[in-house]
Amino acid sequence: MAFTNISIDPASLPQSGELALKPIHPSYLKVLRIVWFMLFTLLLLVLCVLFYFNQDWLQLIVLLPVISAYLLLLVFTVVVGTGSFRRKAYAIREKDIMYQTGWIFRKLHIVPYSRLQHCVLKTGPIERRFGLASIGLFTAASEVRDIRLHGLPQAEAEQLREWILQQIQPMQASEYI
Amino acid sequence: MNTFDQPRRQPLIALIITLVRITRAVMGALWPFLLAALLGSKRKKASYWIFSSIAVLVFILVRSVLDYLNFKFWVQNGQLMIRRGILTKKNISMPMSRIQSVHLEQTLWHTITNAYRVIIDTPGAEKEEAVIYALQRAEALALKELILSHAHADLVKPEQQAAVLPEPAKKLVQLGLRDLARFSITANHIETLVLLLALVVSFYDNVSPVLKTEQFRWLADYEETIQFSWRLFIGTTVLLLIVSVIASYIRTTLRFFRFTMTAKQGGLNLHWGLIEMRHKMIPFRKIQLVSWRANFLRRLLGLFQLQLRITGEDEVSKRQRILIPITAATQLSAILPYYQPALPSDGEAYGILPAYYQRRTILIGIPVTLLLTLGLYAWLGMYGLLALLWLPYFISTSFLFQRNFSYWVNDQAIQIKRGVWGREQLLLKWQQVQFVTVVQSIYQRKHQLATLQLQTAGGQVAIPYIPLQTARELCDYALWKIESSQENWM
Repeated sequence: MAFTNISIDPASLPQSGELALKPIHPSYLKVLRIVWFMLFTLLLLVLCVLFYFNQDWLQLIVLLPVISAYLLLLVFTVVVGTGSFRRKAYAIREKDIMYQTGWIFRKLHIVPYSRLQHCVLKTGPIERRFGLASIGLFTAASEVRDIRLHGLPQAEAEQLREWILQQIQPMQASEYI
Repeated sequence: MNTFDQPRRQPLIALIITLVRITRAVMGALWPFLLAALLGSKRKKASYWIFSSIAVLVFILVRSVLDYLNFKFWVQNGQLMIRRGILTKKNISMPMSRIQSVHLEQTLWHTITNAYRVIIDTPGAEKEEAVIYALQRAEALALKELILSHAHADLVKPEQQAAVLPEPAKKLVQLGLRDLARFSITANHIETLVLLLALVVSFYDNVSPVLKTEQFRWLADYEETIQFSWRLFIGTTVLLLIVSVIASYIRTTLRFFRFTMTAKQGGLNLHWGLIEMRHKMIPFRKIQLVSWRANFLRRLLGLFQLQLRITGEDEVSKRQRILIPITAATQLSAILPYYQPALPSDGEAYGILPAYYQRRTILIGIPVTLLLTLGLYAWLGMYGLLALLWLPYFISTSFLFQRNFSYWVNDQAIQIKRGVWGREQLLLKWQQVQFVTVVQSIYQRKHQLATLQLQTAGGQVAIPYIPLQTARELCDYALWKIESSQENWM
């Protein structure tokens, strides 16, 4: 094949910035709230046990910073977690999959199917109660091994997994020289 | 032939293997508490130990059985499917054509029962996910054969191999003693000094009980006669510097003695060694990312350290990195074309915005300086205010980083140059990109800026604080290059 190097107008390429992303299922916020509740209840229990066995810590100079740190962490987790949830969204394209996550630092990951090694469908006990699942997309990237799409309805997650695997499969026939 | 098309559990031997595995994990987590309970001042009653042991054993047994019952695997539509998990269910789908290799391992338990642990190797697999803990020998071999019959074929098909003529090896790098000396003198002596100090401290920890004995009492007496003086301080510093330079030379010589690099058909061959000769062969197609760096001194002398980042390289272990000393610019020019013939740096250079150092100063520089100053002031009094000097140093290094950061693009690759006092350059072919991430902080969103991250199998390449439009264009171009190409990335 003769070597060519035709100039490409960026405007003619598929635009990643213009695509409307689909938010994840609203029930996932309930899953997050339940997880936060369990985690912070456990943390509170641990603190209570520690104070019970160390009675000399029950002074204002120790209690005040510990309670302040606990409440600060709780508020931060809920506020940032909720903000992050509202911005989680994804889009499926012909050649790749896009996933947006994060609030303070918003990240838009775009993973071509040709770079996917395998995918994992995961359902935790709380997610199962709300009929939700998550998909992990694995590439060979050494620093960020996988992208996880959370808060998908179970049926949709399974359909998405099948779709992704179908996209990976036909590529093997023509991929290698 | 066994096609494994029905979901199946592992044989019963896997239950014993799982029992052993979970016992080791539980003991690994519990041993500090066990030790504390055993050595603690309050002795526990025998009933405490009996009930605790029973509780732990019941947990291990129940967990092992549930793990075993919930693990199934099968092959479907050219994919290896694994379903596992008790509370959190995982369904792993691995196209067999993506599988690089299948390893069969045996522990003592496996050997006794004529079974194998099957480990599936893909570039993206987490270690514990792609493992079948026990299969009987015949089944393990059958599964391996089935997977490998679908797996990744060689790039050059057998009928094409005959058409490729063998080329003679071409020597690219050969280091003599003079080259090693130049390289070692320009090494990072502070790093060597820190290593030496760590060695001395560790050695001192081991021998300090001996030094406190009667025979070494004179040492303690001698210590009391030494008084601090600036002459002593400078003398000690100069001595440490000389020692670290000598140690750097020894380190460099041991590491790169008789180093040669030759290019042969298919890859680069590295040979080196003082007492024991070592050899490494790097196929060209495994090289994901190339970088070369020089500290301030090495820049002046035209020396570099070239790093070839290959697939699956362990970034944490420095020993496993492929580092090549380059003592002439012509060596670099001879090596780079094997990865990428046309360098993007022949074209127009782009930079990053001043917002980079401004934001770093506000978010990191000022808060850290304040905390440091407050802490040191509380400890050292007025001398603690010297910590304020860190702020102008931080601002100047961030400014220099922003000013020195450049990148170039062409239709084959992207090249980045960065550094403060030294310089590092990275060269990445678009085909080696695994996926792309566009990151925006709150400030960047407000000002239409972004950080572009290109993820590869050999590490990440990031361009911070560029216009959002530029980040999107680069992102779209990288994706187009990957998705429109038939070329294999590995």
